[in-house]
Amino acid sequence: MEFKEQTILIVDDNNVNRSLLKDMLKNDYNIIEAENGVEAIATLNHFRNKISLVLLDIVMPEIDGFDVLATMNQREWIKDIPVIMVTSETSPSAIERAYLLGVTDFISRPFDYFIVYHRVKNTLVLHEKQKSLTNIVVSQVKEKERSTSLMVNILSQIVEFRNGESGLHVLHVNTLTDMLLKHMVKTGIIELTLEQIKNITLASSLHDVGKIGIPEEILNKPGKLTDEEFNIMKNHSIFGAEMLSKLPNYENEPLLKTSYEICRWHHERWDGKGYPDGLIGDQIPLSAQVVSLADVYDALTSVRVYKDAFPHKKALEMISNGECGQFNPQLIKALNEIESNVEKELKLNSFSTYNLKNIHDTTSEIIQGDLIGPSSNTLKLIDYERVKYDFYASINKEIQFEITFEPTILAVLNYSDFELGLNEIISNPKEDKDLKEILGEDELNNISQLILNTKPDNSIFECDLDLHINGELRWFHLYGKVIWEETSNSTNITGVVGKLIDIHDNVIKFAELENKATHDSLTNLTNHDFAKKLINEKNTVEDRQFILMIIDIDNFKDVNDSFGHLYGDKVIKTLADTIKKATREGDITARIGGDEFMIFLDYQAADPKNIVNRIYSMIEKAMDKLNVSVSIGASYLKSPFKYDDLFVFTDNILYEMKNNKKGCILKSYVGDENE
Amino acid sequence: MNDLKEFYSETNGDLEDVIGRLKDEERVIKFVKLFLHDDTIKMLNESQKNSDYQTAFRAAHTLKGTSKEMGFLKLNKLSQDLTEELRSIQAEHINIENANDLLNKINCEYNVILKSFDKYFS
Repeated sequence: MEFKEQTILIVDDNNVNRSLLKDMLKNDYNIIEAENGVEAIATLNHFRNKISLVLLDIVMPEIDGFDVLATMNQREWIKDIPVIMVTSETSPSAIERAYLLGVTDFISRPFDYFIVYHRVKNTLVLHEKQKSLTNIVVSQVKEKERSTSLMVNILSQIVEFRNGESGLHVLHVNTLTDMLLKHMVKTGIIELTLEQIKNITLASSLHDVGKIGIPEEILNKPGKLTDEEFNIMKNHSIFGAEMLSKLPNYENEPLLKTSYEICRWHHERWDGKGYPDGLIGDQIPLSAQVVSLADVYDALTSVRVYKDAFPHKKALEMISNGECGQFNPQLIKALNEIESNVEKELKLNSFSTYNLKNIHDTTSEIIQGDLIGPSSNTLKLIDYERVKYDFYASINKEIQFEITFEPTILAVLNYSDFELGLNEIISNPKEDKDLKEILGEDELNNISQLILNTKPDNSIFECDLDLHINGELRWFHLYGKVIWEETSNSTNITGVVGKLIDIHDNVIKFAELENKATHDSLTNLTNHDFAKKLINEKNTVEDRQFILMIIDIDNFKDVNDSFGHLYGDKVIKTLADTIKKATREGDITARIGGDEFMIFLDYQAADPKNIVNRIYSMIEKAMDKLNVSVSIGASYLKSPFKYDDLFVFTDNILYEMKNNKKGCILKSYVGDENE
Repeated sequence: MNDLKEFYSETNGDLEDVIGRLKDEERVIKFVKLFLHDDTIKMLNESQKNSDYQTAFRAAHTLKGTSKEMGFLKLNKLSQDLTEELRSIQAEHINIENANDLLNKINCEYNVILKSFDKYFS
């Protein structure tokens, strides 16, 4: 153990106190200081794998020492990092509260150099010892698990082999037993620890171990057994059970006792018609009940010397109908509830994955136990994951966040290029001024509503947000996941994690592309297709009055030929600008061809003529300056109308007129009455 | 050593206690200096003047701790009394007259320490 590499976090709002402690400890430890609770949590959040001990003051502004402890508990940091409370607050209630929140020790003020030094040193040494002991225990438990499970597997394989079966039967019974038990625990029908489930599952491998005592010609006889042969066959349950009960240490081994139950009673039936003892209902131990159902299901769905395999659904039906004897109705219900998974799992499972999974389950239960914190192996893994995570996040330039409750704390990890002006740790985020500034109050409420609307089975939410960053609006997409904790009698939100991704450039690019696709690049008026779409949107309300004008530059080809294309472009642009000026914001204006434009507008006045004339004269005046004239065909109408028909009608007005003289003609369009 | 003894007797302090805990004279001088540079006393005066009794309570509490740390018994006693007076969360339960009186005494005592320290160690 190398103590100089250890780091101590000193949390106190007063500089004198921090400096005194630092002065006493700095020769032997690295020191990090935090001036308040928020800073302490931020520091722990970042460097918790490097911090070996926290010296924590109680009385601090905003987030006090108890709040820091509450957060350390909630995030389970307190399991890895011992905390010594530093205080002159010696009221018994404060001390009790601190101990309940998991502090290791107290240092009271005024400080005594030797007490501070030794208390810190002892706490660190004890914690280190505990950690290494934890590692030893965890690895030994793993080892024991592995060898027990290996032995059981070898034994069951021998039986299977003699039985002329592939070895998959044991595996399938294992898997199905495990699934049934876990499902029934989850749905609250039974109460078992992971350890007990593991025992029953492992013991299920031995259900047919008694078949070792059955002559091979009976065991592998093709075709139906005679009554006498069947009676001998039936003995395998008692053989197996007796073999196990004669093993030394039988009384003290839960695994052996469970195996005994399963061997002896896995052919009993709920109605008492099974063998060897004719037990009824819950006289049959649960372990044996579950294994008997798993055994029957797999026998039905597998090929045997005397039968073909039944399909999954057929097997379920036969079991439910009692064709293989009566089972506990709750078990049959459970089987039917998980049936779709059963089919998948049994296909997937192989020996290696099965064992690893099981060992993982048990060790994680041990690790989660109250006495023992995570091993340093786990911490290393977490550290590795964190590095990986940071790396990806920094590449993607995300803003990540995490919310925890009681007290409500928002942690922001900013990997983007933007200076958000936010604290890394924000307590009570709904009241935070900086956060309100960036998000806006409405968005803040919107997000908390999204969080509250999630459910345990539907816990992901997302939305687009515009953030005010340095006085500019920028689009982000938010993905969040609400973490729900389900206990047997309630469900609670325990936290929220999520990230914000900068989508601003994409949004802008998309808007630009959309504009490009719908607008003419020279004049920035809409194109004909888009205008048509906009016009049809206005066609949804009946009895509105509209005017359509189609505008054409007279002899535009000559203009181009004599003055050049640049001049032609200028003419087009001027016309477009004039059309814009002559119309209102909501009117539809478009360049529909080289020198052809249109205006579509709605009006309330009694006479459309004045409107058309006003627009015509504005255009005429502007064009006159460029020595160009225009012709306009116009029609007025009421919705509903058929646009294509209306367009042809109005275009015809223009061309009929153009043949005779220049100018502007307005006609009433009534459409085809027959249509 | 004599200077430190004189300084502590002039300031109603308990040098024996401080040396007993901090072990080292140099360390004592260093931290008395830091104590006198700390702005807790300023925070206390300002917040109490602005009737921000919550902040004043925290400042008095801090002063109580640090004065005890440095062995200034009289200052410690006064700030302890003020802490208790300000402990109540509701302002109407605070005897403001008493609190201001205590604050005045604290300021006097603090100045005594400040002057005496300048005399021996500046």
